[in-house]
Amino acid sequence: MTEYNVYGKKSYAFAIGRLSGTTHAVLREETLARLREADFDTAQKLLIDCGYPAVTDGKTVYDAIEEEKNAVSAFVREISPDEELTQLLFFEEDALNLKLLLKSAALEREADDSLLCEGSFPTELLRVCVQVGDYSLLSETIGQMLEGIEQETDPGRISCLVDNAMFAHALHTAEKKHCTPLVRLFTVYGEGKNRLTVLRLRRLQMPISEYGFAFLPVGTPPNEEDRDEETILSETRAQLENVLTDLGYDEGIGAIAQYYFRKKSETAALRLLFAEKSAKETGGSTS
Amino acid sequence: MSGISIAIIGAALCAALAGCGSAIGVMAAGKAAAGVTAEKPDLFGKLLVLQALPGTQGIYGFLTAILIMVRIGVLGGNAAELTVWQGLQFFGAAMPMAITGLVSGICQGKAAVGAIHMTGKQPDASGKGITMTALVETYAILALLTSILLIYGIQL
Repeated sequence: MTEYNVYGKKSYAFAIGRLSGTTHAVLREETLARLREADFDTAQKLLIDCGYPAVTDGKTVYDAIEEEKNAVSAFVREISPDEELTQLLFFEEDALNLKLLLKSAALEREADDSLLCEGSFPTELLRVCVQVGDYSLLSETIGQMLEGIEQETDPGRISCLVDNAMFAHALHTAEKKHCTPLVRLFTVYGEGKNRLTVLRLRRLQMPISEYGFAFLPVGTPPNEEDRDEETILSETRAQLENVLTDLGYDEGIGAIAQYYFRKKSETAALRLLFAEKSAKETGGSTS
Repeated sequence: MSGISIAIIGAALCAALAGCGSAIGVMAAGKAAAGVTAEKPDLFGKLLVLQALPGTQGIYGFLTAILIMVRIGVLGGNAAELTVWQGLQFFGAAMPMAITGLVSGICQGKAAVGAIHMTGKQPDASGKGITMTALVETYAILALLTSILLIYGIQL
């Protein structure tokens, strides 16, 4: 994607330059391997050496990871020249916020603001949408997909509908803006998530045909009946990794999307890694 | 059109096209370098070299234009009487530097952007980045040599 700028506007060349020099760099595979091998305290120190916030004043390593994730979100928003496209990267955060607000409304409680993360839609707007039951204020796609959600009682179904609506909004907007890198990323990401949904349903011994709503609206629902879990997982991982690698060569939003998705999966992996270590050291198990 | 006019157009195009190539290359490298410097100000010295590399084509173009002007006597105020054919020969002699200067300036700028990003990630690799970017320079130097040899090969 080519971005022509007049003086005073941010450019993708500048943004990608900042990504190259950032202190919030994506951790290398060797560093992750060292973190895996180390005990909890050593891993915590190593993480701080890698640029993660220090664990002080009663904070836990999970707080530091969350802080890093928030810093990365703020950094991506700050450097990106195209705000509309950048906001699409936060579709999962929007879905989380909306689910929290819907749950709070169902329990007739006020949502705890500290649990809300920064998505692309202002939380006040999401709150108003939940109160009036009109989601077309967010976008036409979301409005159509969430019409009548207040009548739903099954929390699992509500969760899937919200996920689907936010994902569809991100994909449709990227398509409308002819942003090939994001369309490709969202498509592969959505298809990968759908494969994982098949695995979950298979493990829970639930028929796929009855849970069509659990699949993200992209491509055709996967048919993975004859293949083993390991193959599906490794294929899904490889496909996402291929797309992310390609996006790294993009001179536009693709490079920013690659960085954000890598950091997001890094923080998720670190949370799991420390939880495992913590469980091992306290004699529990997370497997 | 007179021979001297054609030669002057050749010299002007040479300086202008090679200068444009350099300007585009330096601009692209400058944007990337500014981004990296915003995060790592200590790298400014290393990045400055990489940003300056695509600027040489403009100098080569300028040098070629000066040589043409010297040969046709425009600089001394004693312009030679050139036939149309001789004017076309000077125009042709300017083209290797003009065209290669434009293209290689842009290409070197792109290579410099890549090297700047690499330096941002691994500051110790700046030497490798400079080498990779400098390789594009080879073709600008070859074009400069061709133009100089052609300019001095023209019989007046």
